Amino acid sequence: MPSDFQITIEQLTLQKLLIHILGKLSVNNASSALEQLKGIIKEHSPQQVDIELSNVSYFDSAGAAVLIELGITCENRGCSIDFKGMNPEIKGLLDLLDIYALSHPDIITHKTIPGFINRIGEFVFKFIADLKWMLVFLGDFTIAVLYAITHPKSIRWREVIYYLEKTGVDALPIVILIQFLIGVTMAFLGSSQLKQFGANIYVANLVSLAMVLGVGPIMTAVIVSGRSGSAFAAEIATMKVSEELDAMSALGLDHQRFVVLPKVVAVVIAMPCLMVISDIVGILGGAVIAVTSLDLTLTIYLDQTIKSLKFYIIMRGLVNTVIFALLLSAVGCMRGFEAKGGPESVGECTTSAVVSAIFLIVVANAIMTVIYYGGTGLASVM
Amino acid sequence: MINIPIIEVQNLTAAYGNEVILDNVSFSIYEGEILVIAGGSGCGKTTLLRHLICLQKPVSGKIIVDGLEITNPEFDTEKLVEKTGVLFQSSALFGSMTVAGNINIILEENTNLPENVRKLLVRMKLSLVGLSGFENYLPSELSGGMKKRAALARAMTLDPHILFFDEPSAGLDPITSAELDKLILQFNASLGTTMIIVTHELSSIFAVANRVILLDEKTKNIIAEGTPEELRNDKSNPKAYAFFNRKIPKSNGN
Repeated sequence: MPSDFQITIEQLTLQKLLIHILGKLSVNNASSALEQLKGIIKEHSPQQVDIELSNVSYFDSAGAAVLIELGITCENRGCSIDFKGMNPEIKGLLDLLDIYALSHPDIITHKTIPGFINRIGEFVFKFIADLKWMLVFLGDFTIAVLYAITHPKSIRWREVIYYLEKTGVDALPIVILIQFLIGVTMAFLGSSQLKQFGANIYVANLVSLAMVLGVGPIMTAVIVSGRSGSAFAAEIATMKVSEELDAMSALGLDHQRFVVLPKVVAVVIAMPCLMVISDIVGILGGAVIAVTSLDLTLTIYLDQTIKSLKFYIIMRGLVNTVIFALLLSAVGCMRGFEAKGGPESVGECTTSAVVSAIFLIVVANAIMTVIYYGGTGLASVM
Repeated sequence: MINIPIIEVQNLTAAYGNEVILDNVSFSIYEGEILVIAGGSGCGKTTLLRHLICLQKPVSGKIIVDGLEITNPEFDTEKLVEKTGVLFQSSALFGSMTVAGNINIILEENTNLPENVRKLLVRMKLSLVGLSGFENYLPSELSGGMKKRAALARAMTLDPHILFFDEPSAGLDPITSAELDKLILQFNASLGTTMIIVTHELSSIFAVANRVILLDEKTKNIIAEGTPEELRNDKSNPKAYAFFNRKIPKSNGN
C-alpha cells in the first residue's frame, strides 16, 4: 500500500524538535506511524517536541490514539510535547476524550486472582450453598409430588402429553438403534468367552440380563438425560434469564407445578415404555449374533432367554428405570433454576444437568444392585 | 447543513410473508443530520431500520448507503461494517466478553493495529461514553444505561460515518436517557456523524432531532416529515399533530 502520510523532522535547537505530520493519520497506517514517531523521539531524545498537525487531511480515532500514545511515551522519557495547528476536526475529537484517564492507570481495579487458600474457601462456601439449594429444591419437589399424587387433577396433563411426545416418542429411533447395537456387542463379547467352555447357549442369559437389568436401563437413562434432561435445563435456564420465572412467581404460579412436574411426570411415564421396547430390541440384537455366528436356532435362543428372565428381574429393571427417570428429570430441572446472569449460564446449566444426571444414575444403579443382590451374595457365603 | 444525501431509500416495500409492513416508501437522509424515524407501535420503524442496516432484504425497492446499493442481492454486508454502527435496543453486548473485549474483538478483526494501540483505542472509546475504568466488567455487571453506553462505544469503534439507534431510550430513566441524548448531540457536532434514530420518545425527539419522518401503520408509509417543532404545530395533519402533542387522534379507529 502506498504511504498516504509523511513525517518530516526539523531540529529547531539542540533540545527542541519539530515534527510535521502530513496526509492521512488513520486506522490503516496508525501502527506504522506510531513506530516511526517513537523511533524519531528515541533517536533524537529531545527535551521538547512540537507536533505540527495543520497539514493532516484525514484523522480518526486511531490517529488520536497515536497522538496520545506518543504523549505517554514522551512523558515517560521526561520530554514535553505540544500539538500545534490542530484543525477543528482533530480538536473536536480530542476534546471529547478524557486524556488524563487515558494516560493513567485504571482507578477501579477489578478481578484480582484469588490465592490458593481463598479458592478452597470459595469452593467450600459454594459447595455448602449448592447443597442448601439442593435440599430446598428437593423439599419443594417432594411437597409438589405428594400434592400431585393426592390431587392428580392438579397435574397439567396437556403439557405432560407434549413432553411425553418430546421425551418418549421422539427418542424411540435413537434408543432402538443404540440398544440393538448394545445387544449385538454383548452377544459378540460374551460368545468369544463362552465358546471356550462350549457354553454358547448362555449368551442368551448374558444378553437378556444385561439388557433388562444391567447396561440397558443405564443406556436408556443416559440417552434420555442427554436428549431431555439437557433440554429441560436449557428451557428453564432461559426462562430464568429472561425473567419468565420471576413473572410466574409474581403471578402466583408455582414453579414446581407449572414448570417441573409436567416434565418429571412425562419422563417417569415415558422411560419405562422406552425400556420395554429397548429390552426387546437388545435381545433381538443378541439373537442376530446367536443365530449367525453361534450355531443356535432362534427358538433355542428365545427359549433360553425366557427361562433366564424371571418376572422379578424384569420388575427390578423397571424399578431402576423409574428411579433413573425421576433423578434425571428432577436434576435437569434443578440445574435450570440455577442459571443466573446472561446466555452463557444457560450453557453451563445444561452441561451440569447432564453430568449430574449421569453421575446420579450410576450411583443409584450401584445402590440398587447392592440392595437386590447384596443379601443373596451374603446368604450364599454363609 | 449541506444537503448531500448519504442514504437514499427508493420505493421500498417490506413484508413478512404476505403481511406488508412498508409500502413504497421513499426518502433521503443527508450527511451530518440527526434524523428520527418515529411512529406508533407496529408501524414498521424497526423493520425499516433492519432494512437500512442490511439485516433484511426488501420485497422491492432500492436502498443506497454511502454510494453502496445494499439491496443488491450480491452485496457483501461486510462492506457496511466500516461505514455504519448500530446500537441495538437491548444493547446486544456479547455476554461472555468483558466490555473491553466487546470493543477489542472488532479492532482485532478489522484492523492490523498492535495490541497497545488497540488497548488505548478501547480505553478511548470507553472514555468517550464516560465508562473509563469499566474495561474489565462483564455486561451483566453493568446497569441498563451503562450497557447502552458501552454498546454505543462498540458501535463507534471503527469511526463510522453513520450511526443507527434502535429505541435508544427504551428502559432508561429520564436522566440516563437525557445523558444519552447529550452524547448523541455531542458526537454529531464534533465528529459530524450522521445519526438515524428510531424512537417514539417525544422528549428525545425534541431534544435531538434535526428532522423527523413519521410512519403510519395504516398507510404503511410516511405521513409527515419536518422538524419536530413544525410537526407539533401543523394542525393540517391530524395524525402527526396528535402524535407530537400526545393526544388521541379524533379519527381514531376509523
